[in-house]
Amino acid sequence: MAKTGERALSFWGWGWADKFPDDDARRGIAVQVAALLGFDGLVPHAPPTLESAKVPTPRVSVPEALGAFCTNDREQRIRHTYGRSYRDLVRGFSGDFSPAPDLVAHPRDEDDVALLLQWAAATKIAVVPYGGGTSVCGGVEADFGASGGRYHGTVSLDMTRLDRVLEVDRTSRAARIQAGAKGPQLEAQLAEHGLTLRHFPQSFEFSTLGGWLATRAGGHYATLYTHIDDLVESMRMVTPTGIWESRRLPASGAGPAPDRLVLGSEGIFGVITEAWMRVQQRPRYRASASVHFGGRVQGGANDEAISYARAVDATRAIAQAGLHPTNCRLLDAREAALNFVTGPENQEGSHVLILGFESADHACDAWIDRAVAIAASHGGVVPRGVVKKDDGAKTEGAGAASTWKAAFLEAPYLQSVLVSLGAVVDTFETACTWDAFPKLHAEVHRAVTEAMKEQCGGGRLSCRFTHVYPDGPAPYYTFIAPSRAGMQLEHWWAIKRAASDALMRCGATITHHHAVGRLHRPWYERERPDTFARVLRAAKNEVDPASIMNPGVLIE
Amino acid sequence: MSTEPHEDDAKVARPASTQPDAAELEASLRALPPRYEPNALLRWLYRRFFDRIEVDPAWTEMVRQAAARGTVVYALRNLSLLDFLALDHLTKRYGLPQVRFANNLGLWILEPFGKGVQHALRPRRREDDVEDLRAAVTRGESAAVFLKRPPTVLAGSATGRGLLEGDDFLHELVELQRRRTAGGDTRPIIVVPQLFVWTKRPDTRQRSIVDAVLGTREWPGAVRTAGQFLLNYRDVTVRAGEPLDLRQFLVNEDQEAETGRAATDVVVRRVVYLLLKRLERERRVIVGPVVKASDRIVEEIVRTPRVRKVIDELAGEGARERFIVEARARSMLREMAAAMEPDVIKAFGSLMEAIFHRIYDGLEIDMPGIERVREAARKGTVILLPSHKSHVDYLLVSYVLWRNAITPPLIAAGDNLTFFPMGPIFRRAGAFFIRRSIGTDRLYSAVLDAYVHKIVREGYSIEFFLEGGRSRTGKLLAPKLGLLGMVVDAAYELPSRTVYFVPISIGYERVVEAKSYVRELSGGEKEGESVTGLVRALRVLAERYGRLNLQFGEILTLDRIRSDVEATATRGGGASAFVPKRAIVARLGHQITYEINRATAVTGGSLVALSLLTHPGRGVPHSVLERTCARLLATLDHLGARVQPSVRGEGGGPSLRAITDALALFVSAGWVEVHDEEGAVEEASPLFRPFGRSRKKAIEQDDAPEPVYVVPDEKRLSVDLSKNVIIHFFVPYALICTALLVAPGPATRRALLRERVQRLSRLFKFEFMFRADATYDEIFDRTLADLSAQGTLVASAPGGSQEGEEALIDVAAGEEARALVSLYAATIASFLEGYRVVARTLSMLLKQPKGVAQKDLIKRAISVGKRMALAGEVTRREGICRPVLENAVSAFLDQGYLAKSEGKLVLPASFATISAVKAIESRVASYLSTGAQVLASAVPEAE
Repeated sequence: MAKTGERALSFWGWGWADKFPDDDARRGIAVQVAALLGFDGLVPHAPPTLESAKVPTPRVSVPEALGAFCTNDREQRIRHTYGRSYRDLVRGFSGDFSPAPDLVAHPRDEDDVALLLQWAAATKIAVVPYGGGTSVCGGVEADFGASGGRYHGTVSLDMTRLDRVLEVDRTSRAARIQAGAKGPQLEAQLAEHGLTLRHFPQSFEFSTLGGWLATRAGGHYATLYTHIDDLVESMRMVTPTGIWESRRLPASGAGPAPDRLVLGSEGIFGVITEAWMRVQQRPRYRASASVHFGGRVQGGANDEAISYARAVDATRAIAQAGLHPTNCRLLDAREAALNFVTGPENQEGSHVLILGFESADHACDAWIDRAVAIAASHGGVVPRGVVKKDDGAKTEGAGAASTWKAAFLEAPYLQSVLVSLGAVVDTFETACTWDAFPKLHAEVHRAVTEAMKEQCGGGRLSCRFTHVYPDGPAPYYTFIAPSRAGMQLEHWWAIKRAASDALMRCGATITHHHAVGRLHRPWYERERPDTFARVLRAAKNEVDPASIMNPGVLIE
Repeated sequence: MSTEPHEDDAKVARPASTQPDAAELEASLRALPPRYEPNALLRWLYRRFFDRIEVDPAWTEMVRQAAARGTVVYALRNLSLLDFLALDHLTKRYGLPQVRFANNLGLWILEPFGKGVQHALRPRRREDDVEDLRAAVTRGESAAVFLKRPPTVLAGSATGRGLLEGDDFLHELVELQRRRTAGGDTRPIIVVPQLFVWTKRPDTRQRSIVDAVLGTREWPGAVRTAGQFLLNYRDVTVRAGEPLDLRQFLVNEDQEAETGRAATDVVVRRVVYLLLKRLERERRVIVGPVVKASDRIVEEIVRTPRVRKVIDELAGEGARERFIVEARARSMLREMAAAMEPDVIKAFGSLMEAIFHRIYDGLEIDMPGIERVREAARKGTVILLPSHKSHVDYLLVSYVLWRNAITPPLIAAGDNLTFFPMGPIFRRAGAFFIRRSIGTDRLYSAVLDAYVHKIVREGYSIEFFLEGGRSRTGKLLAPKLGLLGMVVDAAYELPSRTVYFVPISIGYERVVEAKSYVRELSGGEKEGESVTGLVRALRVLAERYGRLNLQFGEILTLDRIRSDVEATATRGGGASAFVPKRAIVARLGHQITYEINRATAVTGGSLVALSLLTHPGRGVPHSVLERTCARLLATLDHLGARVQPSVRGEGGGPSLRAITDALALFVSAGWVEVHDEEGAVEEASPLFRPFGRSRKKAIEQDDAPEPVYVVPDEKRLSVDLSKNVIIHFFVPYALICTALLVAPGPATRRALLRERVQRLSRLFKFEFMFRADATYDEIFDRTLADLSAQGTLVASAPGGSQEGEEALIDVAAGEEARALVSLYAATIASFLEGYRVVARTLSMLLKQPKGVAQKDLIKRAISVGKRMALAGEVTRREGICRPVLENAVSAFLDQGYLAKSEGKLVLPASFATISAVKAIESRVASYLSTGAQVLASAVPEAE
């Protein structure tokens, strides 16, 4: 269950347990990070052990009728306590698992899910749906704040046993997939049919289709099909009062779309059990390039700012050119350094725009050439040239682009390591219009830098665009600051709050694809219309009158 | 064996005439076993701890009385050194008969070099002990007998029951008693069941490891006993069960035996059984029933046939549905069930003590009432039914019982009190939670019913509020019979158990919630209970609320109610018929309400409030207030009402202190303004004393103008809450006096008066609770006779007879009688004004042929009332109060002035004209007009 094959997942940190480096390696990383970011004082602390973790005794015993798929096993409860936000990592690292659920359910089929929900509704047990447990905004944690007293217990509903691709419709190029399937599992099963979903969030290895749908995950495509929303055809959800299933349709103009209410509902209505997804053929043609902007070519104090403005302009021009690159990610100089995509031949301190096109049908040469031309017209250079590939051959040596891909999936591991070194390190993402971006960027920079200085005496903020739209980018910020054990959460929260307030001040969104969960709710409440909040509450009340589904998420 | 006579031998008084038999002779020759004399260190230790034990004076008194009659033998339950040491210490300290013998203690351990060691060195046999006992008792000395030995691993531990230990000794005692009686010695041997409760923690059914090592609480080992003692010695309870007179017991036994002489073995068995039972009863009163794990209770309830049946019906065939329905039932039970924890009660006790001392000036408890409750708890199950005026009630009864070593009850609370974090705390203090409205959920009502049955069966005391909610007006609300019915049902199913219903009146001089009540009464909405509300309530702590009192009414049993109902039924001429349970429950409910009303104690606050509000003018001069209080108190005394002791002054009238304390309370709350000699308002301060030293002197010397008290219009409603607490005492008088004063005024024929009073009572049938155990005519005749006996009213008839229906009823001659009649009538005037307001409001219905919702009518009535008050048509603002207006609507519906159509209020055809509506108002108003005039003339001008 928690183990996939022989390889064990870390019970407190990101991903595979064996990828957490030993003390020596961590000391090495500490030195490296210190050099890169210009602060020291990072010391490796001993990671926690399962045995030493503090877990409250369960308040609920397993009812006989649910015994076949429910457990109150201590380790299971520990593993289902937290998501993987910075806060979760720090608490997990300190061995504090006090919000552990009382039970963990691993339903075998949809009937099990329905039975569990009915039982929970009857006995006032809160249900927290759990896919891969990679939420970074407190989406899977059984912490219900003031309303916690209303529940007699909590069950974490782990969907990962439902991991099959059930049906493939080749004609319409769609597949019916169970919600508990993780990225690699569903890709492997689709590959048997020569198909692929091509949705690769950073958590791809561990997160599930149901989790993606429930949180409106952002994926592989930097433009066009940015969210999972664009890849779903129909969904099936079990609510405490019945099944919610939408019709398979390519499109429809019949009223508000039911799927729109399910997407991003974060489990407050029910549990998504399966979905028809729009899949595609595996791409054969690929083209990629890394465009570098600025650096020290001209000298002078504002170089970096000037070259960044040019890079942003280039990105906007490409986004508005109708080229729809698969990859179009602008990393600022610090972000690039952090992800080790700056090569020796390249100027130190330059911003990097990674471009990529792919197609199963035609070569992408014309598109990449045009994109590079636009970038060049804004002063970008392509030190390693454009890489164009046709089919089977591995896309090796694509310069920064492939390094980026590896670093992209490794980044969360680095966060876990930095937590163990006592650093404050977290990311937040948003979206705004191109028009608003300069002001937002400056405001976020000011707010976060000030907060880091005040709390930790300094730190580093970097930014990249994960997705771009014709009318605006989705900036993704990473901040790292030195801290010390015991003060981490306090420091982090002050910085996080400063950043989130800045986003709200500038009219941006609190999240582009990380979801609201419990962490972002205060800002989400400022963002959404009040009338909509009432609608949401009424809808929840209708399908979940006992209010047991993931309480505390999205709405009170 | 030493033959040296003991010094005490000389004291033994032996009737000279009797001839001692051989055994007795031997016993008297045998040396008395030595008294236990601890060494200095131990003496210090014992003093240090045992002196802290709070001894109930009733206990010492009872033992002393027994000692005066005969020889006292203490019977204790389980062999315990600690019990012995405590008993020994206390008997020495309070000069009670001292223990000269105790069985099987191995005392020498404590005194390796004392006299006891001589005993220890020689192996002791049971016979030695018996002989020692015989020696002690024969010489009239006291002894202690432990009835049981703890179970050992080898014998008896499987059942958890102790081994009988005391049989041999009781055998000896019975023999001794027989010999005494035979020898003509009339002094009985009196066995006093003696109980020490070292911990008030109830027993549990689950055995823990601690239990295995240290012994259970019921059978504590030495270490556990010492531990319990050290933890709880401040809190130890010493009690004695009902003493057993062996002589009398033997007489009775012999009479019953066929041979004329009961076999000793049989007698001994019965004595032991009886003593153990009395001890156990006494212990249960203090620690409550054995506690079962809550999961077990839940399971047992879910498995009861009643709940099973409903589950089966709701679930149908499917196993899956059954699983879900059962889960719902369990969940309901978990939300419902109490989980009493003695530690929480104890903590609450300390908290309550602190709070009470802070906000109240004293807690006056009806101690004889407490003893009656204890007696009831000894004999059966107790249901406590307090009046409900404040959230403070919830904790008060538990606290008072706990302080008096009676196990606190489980308390039914509304589920609006489950809010976090207070819900879990209340639950641990013994609250169980019931939904405010049960609706049509069959499963819920079955589960609730089963739960109530369960706790009655388990033997818990239960407390709930018959009124169903807090009374906002100070008057008792009509009883809600749902929960009571469930308890009665449960009682019916336990024929061997007597269930005692205890009416309790809790009196406040000023209710903590007065402010929010007034807001609700004058049209506002109730606020939900919440943590913020609780925090806001902390402000309460900064103020004073006068004295609290707790009174117990006459304890009722189902048997009594049943025979009462049967008596009433047969009085009407009908044959003794089967009485339906519903009738019993209704009668019980009304009787409890009546008893609560009767037990309500008159407080200074209620007396002053009533005096202030019945005054016709704007301000009440001090002397008038004092005189009115005196009149009211005299009437209350005449009616046999209980009066808080602090109210009574030296001459039997109200004490000046009580009046000024109450005034100070009202002044500090801003309810009363004091106008000084210049007529200016004095600064309201909590330190207000109308009689500062100088002024008091001045008034006594009659040379200064007295203060005048004014209740501001908007505060009348607050004062009314205090007034209504005792209004029910006056209602019967008030109805007659009001009817008498109707224009053209007295004198009035008895028949007419009877008719008018009946109309008036019918009008007020939703407002006041009338006695259920007598007919209207009986009550009328009795009340009228009472007023005549008092000298307030006189009857004169043209024919000379004062009895007939033609007799003229008039106010007796003299100022006093007139004043009283006006005063009585004034007690209900505010209600009449409220009804009049509603009558005026009815005209709105003329324009609304489709009807108006009751809520809207009341809302309109409140604004109409405000206008009438401004215009001077209504002088008592307290009448414009939501519940009074609602009762008026109910009364008008009952009278046919109003009708209901599709849930809305409409005027019936016969009243749907403007003149008819005006007629309704003038009918109500007719009771008001002259009353005020007569009253005005009856009140003398202030000097």
